[in-house]
Amino acid sequence: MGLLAGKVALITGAGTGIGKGTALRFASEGAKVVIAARRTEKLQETAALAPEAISWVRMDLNSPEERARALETTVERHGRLDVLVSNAGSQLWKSFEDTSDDEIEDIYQTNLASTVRFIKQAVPYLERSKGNIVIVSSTAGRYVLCPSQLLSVYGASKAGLNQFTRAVAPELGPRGIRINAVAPGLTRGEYADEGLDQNDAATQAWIRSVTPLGRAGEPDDIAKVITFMASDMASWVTGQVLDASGGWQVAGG
Amino acid sequence: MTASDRKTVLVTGAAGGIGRASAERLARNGWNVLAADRDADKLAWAETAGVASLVADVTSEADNRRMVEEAEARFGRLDAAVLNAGVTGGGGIEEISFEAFRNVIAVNLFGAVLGVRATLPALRRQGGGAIVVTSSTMGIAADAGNSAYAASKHALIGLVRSLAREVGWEGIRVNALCPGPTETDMTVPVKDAAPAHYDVLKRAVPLQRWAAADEMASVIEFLISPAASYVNGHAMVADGGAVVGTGLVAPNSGAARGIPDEINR
Repeated sequence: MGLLAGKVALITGAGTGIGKGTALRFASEGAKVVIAARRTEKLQETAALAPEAISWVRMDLNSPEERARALETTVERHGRLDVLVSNAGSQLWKSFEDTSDDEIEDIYQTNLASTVRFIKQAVPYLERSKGNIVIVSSTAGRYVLCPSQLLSVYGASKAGLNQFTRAVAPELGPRGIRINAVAPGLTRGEYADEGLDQNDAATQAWIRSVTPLGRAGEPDDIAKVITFMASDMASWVTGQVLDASGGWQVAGG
Repeated sequence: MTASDRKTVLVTGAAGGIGRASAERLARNGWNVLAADRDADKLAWAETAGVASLVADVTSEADNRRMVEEAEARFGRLDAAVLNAGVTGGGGIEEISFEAFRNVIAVNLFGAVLGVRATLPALRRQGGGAIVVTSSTMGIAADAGNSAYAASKHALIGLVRSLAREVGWEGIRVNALCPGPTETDMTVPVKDAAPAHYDVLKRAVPLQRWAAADEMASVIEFLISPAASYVNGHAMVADGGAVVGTGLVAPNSGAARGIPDEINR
């Protein structure tokens, strides 16, 4: 029997990368999964890989109405919500001084404010199921990494999520809800690949030098950790940020 | 599946509590387990349960070697080590004898150091593996009157983080588990002797209870399993939110000394 047998999950940002990997993992562990993102064609591709377990709903994280609809749709389809994986977010590999005011507004709006509001909307459903929340944050929101000069604005948005996770856990715990974050390091996927050509020899040498396990993470490396956090195996874990970065965090890059 | 196809794990401090729960869980879930402890009487559960066991003292270099030899002799391989043996040792810095302080460090820190040194060659023979060291929420937080224990548990996290970089490239992952309040032989007496006090401690935990030992074992199982293939050098806290919550409530904290319940709510 799977680790998530009988559970119902809503996973955001699940058209690609870590979100997609997590949807597939959850499906293989017995969960019913609703995936949500802006790009419906990507959602359709993911859902088609496990159509008996995965269905999709369009959702822009910055739209309160679409956030509410994604939650309602999940409960309409499967009767409950046990796990919210909050993975949708924006990436920004850019020096602080080159970042425009609009970009700064956008990334804090999307990664921090909309995520916090979304979790607020999800709490009534999770209280009913005694469920849990897993936020996908980032090693860059926890440690200063090389090349740190490119991740300050982004890192602060994820640091906000990490502290939110820790600080809200005591509010949610007595209501039977666990909340944790997983902090991926350098992971293969759309966003990481945008900022970095991982097939370049120099880049690979750099990854090996900063990551003790000697490679970049695959989406499934992170998906497995999210699965653990969402499962009853982590029944005593709440308010935690779990590094899944091959050890990158140890020396701060 | 023969014994040598199954992965083998060594669990120290396996006579009771988290160590025993881990040995039981891992044996149930398809691992070959060697359960080790220095307390032969309490370790006797293993034989009854059909789990391999060895009486050994983690403070002895020879005993650590013996544990690894025994695991390889019985099962033909060693894939993971749960270095869990530890002792408590409370008392103010001027109250605790230096000898007692030294003993806490000798068991909790040097025991793990010797365990790692004995284990690594065997893990290399398998082309990689995983080590989990049992630290504590006292390895992250601290409190008055518990400096020896906290120092030993903080040191273990330094050890783990260093080793993550030192041996990670060989495919050997090293992580720490930091348990919070857990129902074990060590803590049940608190519950029985002072139920009101136990209740205060319980309410200080966001999840409003203490952990069962198996809820630590499940985290250990995750950390040594392929599911944690990209988790390395992490100090994994499993404490029901106690450290981030109302503050770690340890035996010597204000709450335990009888601060009115209202303050802890």
